[in-house]
Amino acid sequence: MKHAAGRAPMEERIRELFATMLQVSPDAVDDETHPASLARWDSMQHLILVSGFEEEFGVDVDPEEAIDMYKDFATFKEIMLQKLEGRS
Amino acid sequence: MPKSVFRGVRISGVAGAVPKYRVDNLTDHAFVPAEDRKKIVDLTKVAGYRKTPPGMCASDLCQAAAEALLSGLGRRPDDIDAIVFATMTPDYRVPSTACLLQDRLHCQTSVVAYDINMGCSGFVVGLYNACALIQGGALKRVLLLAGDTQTKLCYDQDKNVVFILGDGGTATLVEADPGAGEIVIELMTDGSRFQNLYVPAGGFRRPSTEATREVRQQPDGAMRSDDHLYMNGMEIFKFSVTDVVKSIAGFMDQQQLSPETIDLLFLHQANWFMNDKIAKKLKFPSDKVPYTIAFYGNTGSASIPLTIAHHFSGQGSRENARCLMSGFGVGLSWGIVSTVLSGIYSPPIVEIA
Repeated sequence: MKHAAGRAPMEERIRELFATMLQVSPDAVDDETHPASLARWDSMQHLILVSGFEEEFGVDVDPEEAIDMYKDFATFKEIMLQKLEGRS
Repeated sequence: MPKSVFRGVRISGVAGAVPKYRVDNLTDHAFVPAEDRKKIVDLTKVAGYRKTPPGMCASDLCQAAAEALLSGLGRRPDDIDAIVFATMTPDYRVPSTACLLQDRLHCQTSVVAYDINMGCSGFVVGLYNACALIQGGALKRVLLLAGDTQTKLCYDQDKNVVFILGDGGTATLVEADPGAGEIVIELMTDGSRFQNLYVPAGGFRRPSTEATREVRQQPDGAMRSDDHLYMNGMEIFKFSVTDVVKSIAGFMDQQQLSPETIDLLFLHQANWFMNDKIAKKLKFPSDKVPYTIAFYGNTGSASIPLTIAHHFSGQGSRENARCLMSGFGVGLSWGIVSTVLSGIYSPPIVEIA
């Protein structure tokens, strides 16, 4: 796990892109946010999110990771961070 | 299930038929904002699909495909020994639609005819039946019909399904041929997960009532009644990219096949994002994985033969094209076929109004 301070800007970018793609306020998204608590985050929107993040960050999300990312925003963010850190 | 190896059986032709009316996913479905419609199309690559009008059934599409196929191959209805109809959208609850098709196609009364209640694995299960009838039943020619009108199962404002599911019908002629190579088929079933893709009411377990017909917001947020098709999108995605991929990989390993030795991979046309993930996990290059989902959407049991017909339409398959096919969906049921397609006949896709 990298230092939280070093990850903060990327965490915020992920949160903002996540909120923008779902067309909700960034304030409506925190680590506890999960599909049942955010009506816009349904299975179709989730795959659109994954595809959008792949395109935006130039990463390839494995199907198993895409499934895990549907648990809550904390998991979504952590998997994306790991992919971005693995890339650099 | 152990793999079944059929010898002396060949696929000699595949034809497809679709309704003329086309749904445009970018301009129709006004209940979804335009920006979201574009995102869904970008993800699934289903630009549109064909939809039957009221009164037109899967059997009508399959009949049109069968007539084009038999005519093109120079076969008469009397040449057919069996009709196997794979569908989850029959004309009537009783009897089997295959019986009606015996009459409508002017086949002999000595023909064997029955339906198989299967969806996205229907073609593979139907092919298994056709091969078994020939190898074990000593029949010479089986007409395998696979088609569905899934648009009739969906609530027209359930965005989980109305951007993907379309209507289509196909006919495949399976014939005895002592010189044919092997057709290897493996079928699998996990009924414990059937509720991830089903119509909750309208059968005999839970008959249709005024209450089941009421359209209301469901726990997943979508609008539909219990008489409409429900799909748990993430569970079906998970099933497809894990169970199905594992099965295909195991099958290839046991059959000593690889992406290098397989010429074409015909997958059930679920949606592009999912199929692309499956193909990548199996390490298939995109030029070996034909897609028709952009034109017809996911047509249930018709999707594999419709893709074969579309791919080979008018040109015939090249000699000895090693093909792998996999259908997966309702049941949950899935299956894999390995065979060599050689010089199969495929007429242009028929459109009916």
